[in-house]
Amino acid sequence: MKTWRDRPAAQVAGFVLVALALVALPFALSAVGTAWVRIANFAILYILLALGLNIVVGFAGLLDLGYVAFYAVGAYAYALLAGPHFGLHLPFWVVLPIGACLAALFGILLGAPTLKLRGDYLAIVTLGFGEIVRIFLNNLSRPVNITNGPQGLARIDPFSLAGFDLSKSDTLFGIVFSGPMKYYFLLLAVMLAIIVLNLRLQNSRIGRAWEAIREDEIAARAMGINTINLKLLAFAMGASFGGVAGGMFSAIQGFISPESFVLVESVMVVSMVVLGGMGNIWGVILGAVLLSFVPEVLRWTVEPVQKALFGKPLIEAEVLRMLIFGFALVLVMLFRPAGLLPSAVRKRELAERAP
Amino acid sequence: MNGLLEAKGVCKRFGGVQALNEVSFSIRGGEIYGLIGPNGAGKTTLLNLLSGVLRPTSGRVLFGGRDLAGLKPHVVARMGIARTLQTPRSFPSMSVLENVAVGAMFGRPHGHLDHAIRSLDLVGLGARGSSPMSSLNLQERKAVELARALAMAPRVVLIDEAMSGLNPTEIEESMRLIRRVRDETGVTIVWVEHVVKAIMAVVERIVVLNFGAVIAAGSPAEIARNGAVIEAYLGTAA
Repeated sequence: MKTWRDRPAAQVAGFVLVALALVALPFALSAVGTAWVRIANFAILYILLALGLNIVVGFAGLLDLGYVAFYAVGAYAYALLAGPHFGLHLPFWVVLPIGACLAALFGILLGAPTLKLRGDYLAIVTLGFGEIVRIFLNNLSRPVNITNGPQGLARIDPFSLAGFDLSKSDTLFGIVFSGPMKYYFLLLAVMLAIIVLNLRLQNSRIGRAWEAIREDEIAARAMGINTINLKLLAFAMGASFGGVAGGMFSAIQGFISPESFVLVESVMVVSMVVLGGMGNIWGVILGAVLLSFVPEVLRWTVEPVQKALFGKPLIEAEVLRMLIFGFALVLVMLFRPAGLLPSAVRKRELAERAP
Repeated sequence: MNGLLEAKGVCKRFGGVQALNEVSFSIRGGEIYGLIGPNGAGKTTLLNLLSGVLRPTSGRVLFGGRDLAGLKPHVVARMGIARTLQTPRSFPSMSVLENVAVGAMFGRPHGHLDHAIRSLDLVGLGARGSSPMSSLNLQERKAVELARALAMAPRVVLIDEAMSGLNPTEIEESMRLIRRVRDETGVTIVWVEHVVKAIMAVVERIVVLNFGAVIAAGSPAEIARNGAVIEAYLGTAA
């Protein structure tokens, strides 16, 4: 069967179209309202998170329900090193790598004691880990004020490079770039880099070893695979992506508090990975885009529609969102158990099992 | 004379259970060495000691003169001791060839795919490379497991119960396969088996365990006449 993959010209044309669409997107969105560019930015942040979690859950098969902890570590690292709280204002290209490394360290901190745990047991420990980190952030305001507790940290530095501030609007080549638009392009660049990294990783020796560990750890060890180091590596790499995303979140928001890193956030990211297709990079991206855009679309449409129909809003958008989420997940599990875009591997497995 | 793989006074205790007691033998490079014994004799425990999964309570396991004490299983595997597992444990998400390629991939930076293809040809499954694992029967899965071990280019392959669950025809084929693998690659084979008839026809030397101790060692013909072995398998006359 001939697919688009076998036609280089079609492939190039496809890439050019996607690239143009991604470049044009913020301009189209800002015509509707700058808020939508922000929403696109958050969608990209979620893509980064979902791709990071996909390394741990999709590639290495280690269920992590406390992933938001690494996002928090990255965010607080940025807020403390580039904000007024300690009076430190390091540039972002220094702080982001520090945040990534710190998150990786926390990943190893979580991974090391849980090396022998699998499945449900690992999920419970990671869940606890996520909560521990959040509770620490909430309470590390006394006796020495490190995190400023539940009040959170405000007036965090935006990204700036050579006097070029990403939070303010600028005019370049006669085109007005708003703050969120500039962040959009930065996020887009980071996202592309991370996608390329993920694609390369998947077919590397490391990716193969992770797959072997996911499928059968004992057999993997018998094949000469160092399962301990590779599981720690999966935790560390996944966590470092979360750390980078956290740092960018800090800078874009300008304000963070433990409220932003609750369990529901971890659940959201896991849902993105599962809904989209565990282990498939494109599926995970689709899941992240869907789950971050749909609630926003609902927020902007549900109440006006109800007002037009009944004269007053009957159901709040927030309530409806959870309802639709629940339905969507149940439907996906029933009809596409491997996700919307399953990885080739899982597709093959399911096809084999079908009578 | 020094063997390639040697056990010297190996003991293994699990709490109050003495699984292995003063087991010693020496396996020469290139031979097919059999390891038999009734249920619970300590065969799989011994195999786990030889592959570094377990550590002896006392005594030593030497590979090429080097003590395996304290080495992790994956290090032992990379040193050249590959193994198959009693119940085939494959990576179900991968194709047959990909399964074998995992064996070839670690410690072999170049040409691992070619090596995997050759190993798969050797066990007679060259045509099934792109099939999913779930389409293979038990015998074929055991053969894939053997190919995966061979793809690691080992000096010793430990085979754990290659025959269990197979019918007589399949046992015949598997016997021929094990002999062919040794003849073509020169690899040393240590074979733990429950089906005594099969192992007697293939191995060159054999050691018999009962209740964790060696009760006999020698050629298959010697073992078949050995009174202690017959007693262990059939029991004493009442």
